[in-house]
Amino acid sequence: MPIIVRLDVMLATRKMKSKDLAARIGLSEQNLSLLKSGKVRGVRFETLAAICKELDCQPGDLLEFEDES
Amino acid sequence: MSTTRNHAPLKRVHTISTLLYWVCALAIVFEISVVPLVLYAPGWVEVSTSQMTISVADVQALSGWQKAATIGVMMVPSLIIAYGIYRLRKMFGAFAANSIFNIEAIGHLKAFGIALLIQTLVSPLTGAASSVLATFNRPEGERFISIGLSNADAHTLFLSGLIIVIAWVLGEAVRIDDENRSFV
Repeated sequence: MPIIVRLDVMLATRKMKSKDLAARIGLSEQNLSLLKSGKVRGVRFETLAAICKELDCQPGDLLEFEDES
Repeated sequence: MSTTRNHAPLKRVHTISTLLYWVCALAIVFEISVVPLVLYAPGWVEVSTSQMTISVADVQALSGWQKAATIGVMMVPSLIIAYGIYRLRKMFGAFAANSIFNIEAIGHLKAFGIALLIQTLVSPLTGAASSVLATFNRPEGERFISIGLSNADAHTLFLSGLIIVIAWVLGEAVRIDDENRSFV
């Protein structure tokens, strides 16, 4: 998957625990863990917006494109 | 309170599915034993389907391999539908285990529909084959081939097609649901 999720980096920068972020955005810890590890097929705009709001960042800070070719 | 309300339909599904799981077990036993019962306990049940194209007395008058082969051929549709019911039983087993919107469970429903379709298509053929098997060594003029088609067969054909289409649509719905679940 050429899209890399940088949520763990942003969480470390903001000094926030996954558990707290999950509670604030109303996502289960399990789903947030899957998102962090990039084991999901997609992210809803709604979820992305909630994460950006809580971490005070832009979608581009959370997602990165890496060309595999 | 709301949790109890939300779980109530699932509990009902569990109860009804468990009941149907055991009803299917009885239906399998019945399907496998119906032909021997009709032949060895005459008068126990009146059979008038495309599966029984020769009279019970005619079959009882046979002996040896001819009788065994005739009964064997007559049992083919019952065995096909018994397999279909076995798959239906597995589906209810999955429902009872709360595995409802699952591709495997829907696969069992599709298999039941296909078994029903095959059974309906095969019944007239096995009926004809059993009439040939039972009468081929009779004197000329007494041999016959009998093909039975009833209104019920046409209805079953329609029903089986309907079940297959419903299973196919449910399979697509499960696939979409699975895709939605992989989004966070």
